[in-house]
Amino acid sequence: MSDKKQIVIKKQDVESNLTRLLQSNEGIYAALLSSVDGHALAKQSSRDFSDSRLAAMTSSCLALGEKMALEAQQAGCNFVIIQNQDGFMVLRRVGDKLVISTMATKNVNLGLVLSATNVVAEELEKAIQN
Amino acid sequence: MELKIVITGTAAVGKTTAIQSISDRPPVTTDQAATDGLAIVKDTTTVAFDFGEIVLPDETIVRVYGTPGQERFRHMWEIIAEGALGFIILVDASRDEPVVDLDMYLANFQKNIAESSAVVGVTRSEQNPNVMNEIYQYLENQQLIYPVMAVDPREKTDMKQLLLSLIAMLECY
Repeated sequence: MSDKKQIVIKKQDVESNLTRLLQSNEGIYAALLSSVDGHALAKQSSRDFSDSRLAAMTSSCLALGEKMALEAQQAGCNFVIIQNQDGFMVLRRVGDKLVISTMATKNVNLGLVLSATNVVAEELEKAIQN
Repeated sequence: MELKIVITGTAAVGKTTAIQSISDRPPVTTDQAATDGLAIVKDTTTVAFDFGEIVLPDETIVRVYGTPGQERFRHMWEIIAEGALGFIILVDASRDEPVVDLDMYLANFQKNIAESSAVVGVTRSEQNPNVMNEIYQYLENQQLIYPVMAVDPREKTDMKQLLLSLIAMLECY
């Protein structure tokens, strides 16, 4: 059955949580909140990148990660982690319809990035008013 | 033998439905809740790909990949098209300019189609009596020879006929 309910979240809740994420670790340089169908909703970043393209790719990547987990008979995909030569990207679903992406430099402690992303995602889930 | 076929076309044309109806094995879908204007037409949208498998009587396995319809997922079009041996382009006759849609998808996959082949499936053709003639005329003007069929993506026989036409085209190469 489809869920036609709109989700409502205050702009200040989004902005304060994204700021909090960036401030939680000096290695985290960008955070993007987007919809699961690939629309950019909010971004905080010290670097320049196309949030619309990244939001669409995030949507594809999260969906693939979740499907791969199911195919491997692993339940509940918590994060999709992309480890690159000069940094990390961490994707985490927020509620049913949103996804947060955290970008960090290569010298960061990945565990701390996952933890910070998780804390902010949970705060955003609490802030969503169905 | 294994064949890779791609189904593409505009959002809500019936790509996911086509793969669900034709696949011999449970298909893989990557549908997510639609949060934009598309939600008026359908609840979900494909964000990565759809995937299905068909086993032909000669044991050829046809792997069918469906692209996301919306242009912001263009990055997936390029990934999915790589190595494809044929393209099924679905055209929604109920849209304002079906021929423009067809032209756009042929242009997008031009390089890949030039190395393989394509067939055109027209959905909701009953809502646009002139659409078949318009498409024939367009293909003739472009000097393109592709089979064109009116199809209902929910009907396995329709989709299988389209697929077999594509395979027949490939065998001509």
